[in-house]
Amino acid sequence: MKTLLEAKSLAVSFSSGAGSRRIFSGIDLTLKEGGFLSILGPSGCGKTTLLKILAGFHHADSGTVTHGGKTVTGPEKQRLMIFQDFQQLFPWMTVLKNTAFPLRFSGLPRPRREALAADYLERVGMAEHLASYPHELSGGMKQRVALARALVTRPDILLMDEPFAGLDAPARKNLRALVTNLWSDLGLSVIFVTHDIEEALVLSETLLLFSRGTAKDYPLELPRPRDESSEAFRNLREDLYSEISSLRG
Amino acid sequence: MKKQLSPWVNRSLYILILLVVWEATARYSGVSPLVLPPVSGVFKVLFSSLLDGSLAANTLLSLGLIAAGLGIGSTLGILLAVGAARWKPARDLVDTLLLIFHPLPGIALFPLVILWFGVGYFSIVILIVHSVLWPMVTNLLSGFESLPEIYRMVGTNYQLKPAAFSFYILLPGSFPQFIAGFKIGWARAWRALISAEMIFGAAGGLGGLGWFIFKRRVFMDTPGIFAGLIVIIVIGMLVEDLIFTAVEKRTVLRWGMKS
Repeated sequence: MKTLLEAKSLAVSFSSGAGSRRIFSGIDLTLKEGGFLSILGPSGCGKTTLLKILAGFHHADSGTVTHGGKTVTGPEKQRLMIFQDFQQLFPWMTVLKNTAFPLRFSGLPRPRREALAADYLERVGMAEHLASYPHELSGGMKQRVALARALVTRPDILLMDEPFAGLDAPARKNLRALVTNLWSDLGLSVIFVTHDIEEALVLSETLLLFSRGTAKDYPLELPRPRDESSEAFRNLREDLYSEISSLRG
Repeated sequence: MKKQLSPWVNRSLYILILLVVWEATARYSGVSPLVLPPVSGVFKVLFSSLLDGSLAANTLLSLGLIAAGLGIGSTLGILLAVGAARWKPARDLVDTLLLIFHPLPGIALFPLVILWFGVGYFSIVILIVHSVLWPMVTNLLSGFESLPEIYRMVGTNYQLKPAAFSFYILLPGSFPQFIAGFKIGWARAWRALISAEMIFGAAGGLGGLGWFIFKRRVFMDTPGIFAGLIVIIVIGMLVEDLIFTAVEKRTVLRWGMKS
């Protein structure tokens, strides 16, 4: 598979008054076409900052990000971010209009745009809520709509920043299954940030452990569909727990 | 579910009480009807002057003027605010203009406006625009500033051009503040309009509700004065309760953008 996105020796530090604090350095990562890379690490370790650099919202102090061979200099619609914040939908648009919004500038006629949006909303299980406004939806429903809105333009890469972190366990489980299905059905390429070990193990093809300012690839050979009760899964989870504890030192 | 009674049930009751007290005072206190005419007399004049067209024509004129002024004022307000949001030097200019003009009562500008533009509808519209423009700009700018960062990020991620961003995200995202600005602007403009009509009507024979009331005084037609006041009050209530409430129900309340 062809390399879609590549980051080389990224380093970031925050300067605050007296001195600067290093957030991370020497980060390398690669996303292949059709890949699912999870960035796993504790809260506050700089995962979101890293994802925003990959998206183009932030700039690294050093290092490069390339997308399809071209250096990333800012956000692009071919690399869409799905945020943790449930408020990423526009409250003044219905679910359907929110989802069709990115197509407004595509030159497609409106009926075609709305049909496409409705199609993706059906894929994420929101077909019954086309006319609802975001404030009428639960957090999980909002994130489903955000997913549909991000998919409707078929970007090269989805960058997901702990989109399910604010949800309860059953909703998270349903959304994991949804993302796995969409990924395999539509052949998506995803970079997924999470602090949840199970989530990373269920979803990912490749895994990057993030801790104390550095990152480390973690080999992940786990057949699909992923069964959380299987022995292989449990062994891997144990191993991952001890790996993370040792990284924390 | 308990059905909520319209606030109009209670309001109508109090209005009725007020009218009864008024009628009783006018009839039995011995006050001259030139000072306080009975309600019945006022309503007789109200209906006859609505029917003969003199009040209706003046009301329509006033409404036309204020509609023109509100339309021009809010369009200018949107342009100024969007310009200021996009371009730093424009922001400094708009801030300075706000500092100068926002606290300036429209009525203080009358002599200058008459001197520059004469007595005419154009001058009245200028005064209304002045009343609407600055509260509109102030409110829109504060709306832009409180726009959640995440909407900007979504817009940036889709690489929206500045005009598309302003039109599809910045303005709808600031709609609650737009309405707030429009309400303040309406209240100020309505006052400015009635005062302007009194002064300009006297000077140039222009019409309008303000002039209608002013003329009644000249003829000692007290019921006519009250009839004009009632029309002003009713228009104020209708605009607040029908138009603004209806707009809010269909927009910010529907969108969950107003707590």
